Amino acid sequence: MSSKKKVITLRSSDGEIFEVEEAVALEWLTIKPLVESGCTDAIPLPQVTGNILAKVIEYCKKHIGASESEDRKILYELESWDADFIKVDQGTLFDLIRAADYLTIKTLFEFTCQTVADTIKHKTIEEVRHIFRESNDFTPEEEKEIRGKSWWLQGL
Amino acid sequence: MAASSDFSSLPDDVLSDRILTLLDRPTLGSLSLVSRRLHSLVISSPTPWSIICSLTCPSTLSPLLLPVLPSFPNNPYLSFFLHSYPLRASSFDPSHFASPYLPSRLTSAVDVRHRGEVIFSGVAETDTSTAWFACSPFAIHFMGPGEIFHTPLPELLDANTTDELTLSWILVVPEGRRAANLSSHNVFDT
Repeated sequence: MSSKKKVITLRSSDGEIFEVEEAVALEWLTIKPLVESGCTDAIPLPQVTGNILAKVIEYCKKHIGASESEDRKILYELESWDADFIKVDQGTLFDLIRAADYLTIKTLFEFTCQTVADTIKHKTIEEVRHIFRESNDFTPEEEKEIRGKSWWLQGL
Repeated sequence: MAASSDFSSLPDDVLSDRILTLLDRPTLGSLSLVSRRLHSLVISSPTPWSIICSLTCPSTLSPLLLPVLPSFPNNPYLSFFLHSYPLRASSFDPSHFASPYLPSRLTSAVDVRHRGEVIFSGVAETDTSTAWFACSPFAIHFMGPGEIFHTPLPELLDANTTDELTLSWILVVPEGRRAANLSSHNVFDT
């Protein structure tokens, strides 16, 4: 290596300091202008905790360059790495979605949202309520009316 | 405050612009009955329904219909979808048909599938002011006599493969912002 790669410093909401390569930080569109402006101070990320930021960095470091690869072996390995990476509890998954949304990291945002969609697919109403801890706040009359109108939602 | 692992902690736009767009119609149907918030998100989000519409009836992407559908009331693609879903006896409202009103133009959106894969999409317009229309059975033509239609199918259609063909024929009244499904899905029995 002829020149040392430029490093960007990030500070999580709980004060943890992280260092990432500039190439990784440039993929995060929210902070891209700051990075490009040559900012040398630690960039504060008040909406992301240290443990989530660590996961986000881990994902982006693995994916940089690899997602665009056409080598099927690399893509296959990346897919199985992703599958392991996303074996997290639901709170962490939702934190990752919020972090990817806040930092505007397209690949991570799409991947985490797809994971949630795959969890919901083909589940019954009761299963969705249970998995996502969403309580049934319809009155019995409302629920009856909505079900009556929802003849078009076949296959329930 | 909601715990970070609760569904309610995800912002509305993440759900409506992203997660809901990755789901199929039955799943959206289930979600709409989970809670008030999800019901209103499913009913009011435009993107999931425009995607479902273009996947179910690719013919709706034709230049003849593309400007019409967004003008349907409320959530346009959901309205179109509700109108064009096959009528069930309980939802049949004869008052829709009591009026002597005849629209001047009818647009047909037709999609033919083989084993679920679209092999033909077409849109045809019918002028209802002609004498021909008034005294003939309703029919549309996509091809003249002797014209050949190239399908992406590898083999010739025979008696077995015709069982695997399905037809969707949706009639749109552009000026009335209404639509109805004419097809019984069996290609030779519509």
